[in-house]
Amino acid sequence: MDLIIIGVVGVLFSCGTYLLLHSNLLRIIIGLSLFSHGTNLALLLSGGLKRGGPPLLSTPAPYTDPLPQALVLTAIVISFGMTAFAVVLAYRTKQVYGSNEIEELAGGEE
Amino acid sequence: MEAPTPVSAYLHAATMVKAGIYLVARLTPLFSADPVWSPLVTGIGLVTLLWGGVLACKQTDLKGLLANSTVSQLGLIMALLGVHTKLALTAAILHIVNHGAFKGALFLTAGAVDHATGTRDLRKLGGLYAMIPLTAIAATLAALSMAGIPPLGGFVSKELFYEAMLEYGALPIIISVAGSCFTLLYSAIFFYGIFFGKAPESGSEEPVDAHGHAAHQSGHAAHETEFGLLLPIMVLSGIVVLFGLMPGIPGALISPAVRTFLQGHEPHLHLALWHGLSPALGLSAITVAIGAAAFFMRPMFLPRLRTIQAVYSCNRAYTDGIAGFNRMVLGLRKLYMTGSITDYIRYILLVLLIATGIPLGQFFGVTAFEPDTSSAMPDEIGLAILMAMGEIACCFLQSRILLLLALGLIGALVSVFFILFSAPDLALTQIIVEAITLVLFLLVFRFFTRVDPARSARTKTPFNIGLSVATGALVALLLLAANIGQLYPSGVTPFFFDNSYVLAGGKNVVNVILVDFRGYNTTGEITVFSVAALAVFALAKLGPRPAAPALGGTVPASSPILQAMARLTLHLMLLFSVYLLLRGHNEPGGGFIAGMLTSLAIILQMVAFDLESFKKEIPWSPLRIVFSGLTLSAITGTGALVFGQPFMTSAFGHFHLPLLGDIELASAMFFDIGVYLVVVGTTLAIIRTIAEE
Repeated sequence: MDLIIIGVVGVLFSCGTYLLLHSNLLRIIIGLSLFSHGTNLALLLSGGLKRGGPPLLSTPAPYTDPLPQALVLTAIVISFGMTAFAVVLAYRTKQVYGSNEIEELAGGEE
Repeated sequence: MEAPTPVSAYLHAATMVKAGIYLVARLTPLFSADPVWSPLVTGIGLVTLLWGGVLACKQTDLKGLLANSTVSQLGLIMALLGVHTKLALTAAILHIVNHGAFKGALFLTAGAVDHATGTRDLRKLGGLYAMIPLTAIAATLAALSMAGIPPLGGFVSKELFYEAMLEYGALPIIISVAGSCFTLLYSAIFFYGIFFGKAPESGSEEPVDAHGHAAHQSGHAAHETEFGLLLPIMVLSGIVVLFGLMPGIPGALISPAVRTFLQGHEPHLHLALWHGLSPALGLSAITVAIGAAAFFMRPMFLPRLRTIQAVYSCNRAYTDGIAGFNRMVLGLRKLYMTGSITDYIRYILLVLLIATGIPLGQFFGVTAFEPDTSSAMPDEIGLAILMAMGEIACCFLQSRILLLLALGLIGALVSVFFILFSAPDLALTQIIVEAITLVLFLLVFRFFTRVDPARSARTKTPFNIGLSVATGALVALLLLAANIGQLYPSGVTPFFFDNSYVLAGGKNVVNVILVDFRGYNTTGEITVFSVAALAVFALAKLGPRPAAPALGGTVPASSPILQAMARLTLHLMLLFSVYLLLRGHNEPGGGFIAGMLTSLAIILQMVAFDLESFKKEIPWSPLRIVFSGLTLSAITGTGALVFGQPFMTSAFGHFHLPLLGDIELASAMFFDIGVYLVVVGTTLAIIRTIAEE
């Protein structure tokens, strides 16, 4: 199972990188989202997959590690905030500069 | 060199320039064991001796000549320090003293000559012996000492120098002799040029005189140096003679320094004027012969030397070198600073791949990896394949809407994974966040320009694809290397299980960690989150506006079915979110999830109806909600301080509420409500800000 998830994380990072190399801002933002997903899965992986039930003390042991879950939970929320910010940034860029292709936005030397 | 002459004498002959020598001398015991040290220091010293001598010969200004001769003499001392035998160290220190004496006298002479004649230009001076005989004698003695003529102080140290160099090697001794020949030459140029020879005729004014005033010929009558100026020269010259005739005196002066150097060994202090017919004496004779010959032949080469060096000076080489370096750096910069962010990302990735990849490769050679391969179920494999397909589709889809749907698919699959891996809180959060993200993208969807197929083709190069695949592979290999599946149970985890209920009164350990054990952390996190709301608000509301009226036109009314559904579900969703919030401490749920769900419910209303009804539903400004949430969390945290507990300590008790069952009312609950408010406020602020645009 570990190997499968590691593979999924690898594909997530590959595709995220590829999108990041695009010139279109929408794709770059999606690339960043894929990075977040990949990181979250990798974090969760460190908690020992499927070694136990959810870490609820009302259910019988064994449990999985709650610590990565707590980390990932905040990471999800934060990455939502980041995505929202990036989306608004792209939107404003389009509004002010008329484009969201970063090649066209590349500044001069100054 | 611009200082008044007595200051020059003090600085250049004795103290300041010797500071570097002192440093090298001090460090000699430390470094002399290093095989590089001796050749390096001696080499630099000898080159300096020779080159300084050449430069001194070409000077026309008296002080310029003396300054360059100082450079040369310091090179000599440096070379001796590099040799660092007993003999050489003795010679070095002796020469420091000797050099101080004769160079002091010579600098003062230069001042006296300037004072007497009004010029320091060698081309205008000559025959001054008749006018200032006492100065002339004293200065000549000092200059002869510098040249290493017996029986003066300089001769003694020069003999020792030759002896030390004879022990050192053949090339060094040749350079030493050559350098000493130049020493002799410029010493002779100095005293002969000033005091003997013939004075230039009154008519032959050089036009090159920078100062313009016609020197000693016009009115500034030359006169014997005043006593006050003469005395120091006489004293120093006397010392020069004394040191030559009685080498025991400087020997006694320097013996403490030499003893320090030799660290207790008895210094070599058999200083004498006459060493017998030694090889060093022979070298001295050769030096005098060549130097004298050069002196008499100087009209043949000196003028040419003066012009040649103006072209090939070290200063010029330095300036050219700096300029060339600047050009090279600029050229290099143009080569890689393309102004394209994409290129910079490529650089970062390449560095990441190389800097991480190489140690990783070495690591895999050493450590065995033991992944858990046992429990891969068909459904999980299917999920993984589906997900990979979604990801790859993301890369190559042209349509924006399909792209967003693929992203949504990936998010949904991630939350399925979360369910599979016993993380219900994460699954809940993920699926709601995914929905909100999709709404967010759809709101600004029309502002994203269509993906240009030509541009996509340009991205689809083998290099980019290779780079991406390599990055993904690197991450996967890193996870393998970290043996990431085998880390659990981590050291701190048992603590959470043992104390979650006992200390914090909660059974949902994830939630307890968030709102209690790591409450501090969460406070920081919701603060960051609310800053995102502020940033979105500022970004959208401030700054330049486009001149054209933004996106007028009517938004088509949404379908009545959606409106009916939205109205129907609003209260259910809100109720469910309250339920999630209240039970979060013991069951999956909590502030984050409840906040996201509440936001989703309100956003659904907004999509189904319009912004105005949305504003009617939520009369408060979203930012105000954010800050009340932050304040509530902070007050809850600090509340513990009132009871003398550390920040964020929680208290709890149990209550029974009808329908909801046993409710755990911990103070952490209020903290969670704060989180809830922050999440709701931030999400609404973001969405509403964009919707209003």
